[in-house]
Amino acid sequence: MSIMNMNLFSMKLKRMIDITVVLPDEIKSNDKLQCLWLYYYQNISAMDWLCYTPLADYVNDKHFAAIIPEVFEINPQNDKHIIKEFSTNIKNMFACISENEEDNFFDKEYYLEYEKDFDYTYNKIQNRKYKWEWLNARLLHFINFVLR
Amino acid sequence: MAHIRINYNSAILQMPVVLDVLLPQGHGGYKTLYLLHGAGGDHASWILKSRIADYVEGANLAVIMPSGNNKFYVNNIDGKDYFLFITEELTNICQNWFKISKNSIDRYIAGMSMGGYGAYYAALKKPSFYHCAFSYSGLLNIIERYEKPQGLDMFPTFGTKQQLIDNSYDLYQLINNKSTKNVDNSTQFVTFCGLQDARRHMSEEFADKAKKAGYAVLLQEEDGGHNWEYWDKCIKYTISYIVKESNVCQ
Repeated sequence: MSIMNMNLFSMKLKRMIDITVVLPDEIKSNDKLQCLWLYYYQNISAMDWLCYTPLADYVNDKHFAAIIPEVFEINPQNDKHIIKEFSTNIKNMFACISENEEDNFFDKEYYLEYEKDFDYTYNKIQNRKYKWEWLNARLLHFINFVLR
Repeated sequence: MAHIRINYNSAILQMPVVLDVLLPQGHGGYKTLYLLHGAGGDHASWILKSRIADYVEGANLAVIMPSGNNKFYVNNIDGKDYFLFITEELTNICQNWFKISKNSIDRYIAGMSMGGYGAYYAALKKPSFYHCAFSYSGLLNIIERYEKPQGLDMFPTFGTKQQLIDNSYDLYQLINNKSTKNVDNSTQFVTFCGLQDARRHMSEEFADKAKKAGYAVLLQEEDGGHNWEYWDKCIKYTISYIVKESNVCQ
């Protein structure tokens, strides 16, 4: 897989931000990949996703893109304009990522469900192993039931 | 403008490679500069040792900086195919990843020292593939360099001196190659060299021979040595040159 560590300017946050993009190895010229946006809170980094889950293998095997913004101060429920800005930026930069809303899973039904579940896990469960098992289960859910 | 560090598996080199990319945060269709480093450098050299990020801000130009691993950006006699990597795989994959222009008129290549040689080698081997090639203090006389390698192991890259000649690694051979000359070659060659550079004669010699062979060549000489202070001026000039060309085209 290809791992891209991006540093770019956010007009909304008025600062540079880091976003990690994970793409499959083989990308054809007209590919428009479905995309999973992984937001998280202070205790998880993009590197954690790559080290503690098989995200990179899933991306390669199932041929989709994963995007992990490293912005801890936003609340995805209340800051949808920021989420929208990131999405627009990425779609403007990447030829291989689908511009269709229905192919970007971040602020739609799937994402909201994910966010609700994550809060529950974060508050109730402190065991790191269990947490990553759960997050991996969420990835598998995305791959098996959401990805086309 | 975004700075992107990319780690990906190169199919041609059969190993993970790292690239640095500067990409405008606009709406795509950008001109693209493939920027090569010199011996001893890597993908990060231009970012760390010049002010390229500052110069490219607002220029609507994508800059792609790969690692050349001291292999002169040629298909190595005993090693990996860096020429194919730079001129085919890297171009294709970047065009597939990012919203950069696919037209050769929007594609540029440049490099300093060893990278200058690599940029001109690529442009001569693939006529019309790049709109313009820039060499900054380029090691343009590769036979002379082969004889004075200054610590670089040239054998795995070029083989023996006879193999270097037989395999047309010498830029002068490429200039005089009939098959190259017969192609409609629209690539311009812009050759920079500092007046205090010990290898200045290589740039002058190349410019002279290429002009005689019918290539569009511009030789730019001014105060400067074989160092980053001079190459910083070169990259600043290059970016303004590309921007001016864009303005003329519009």
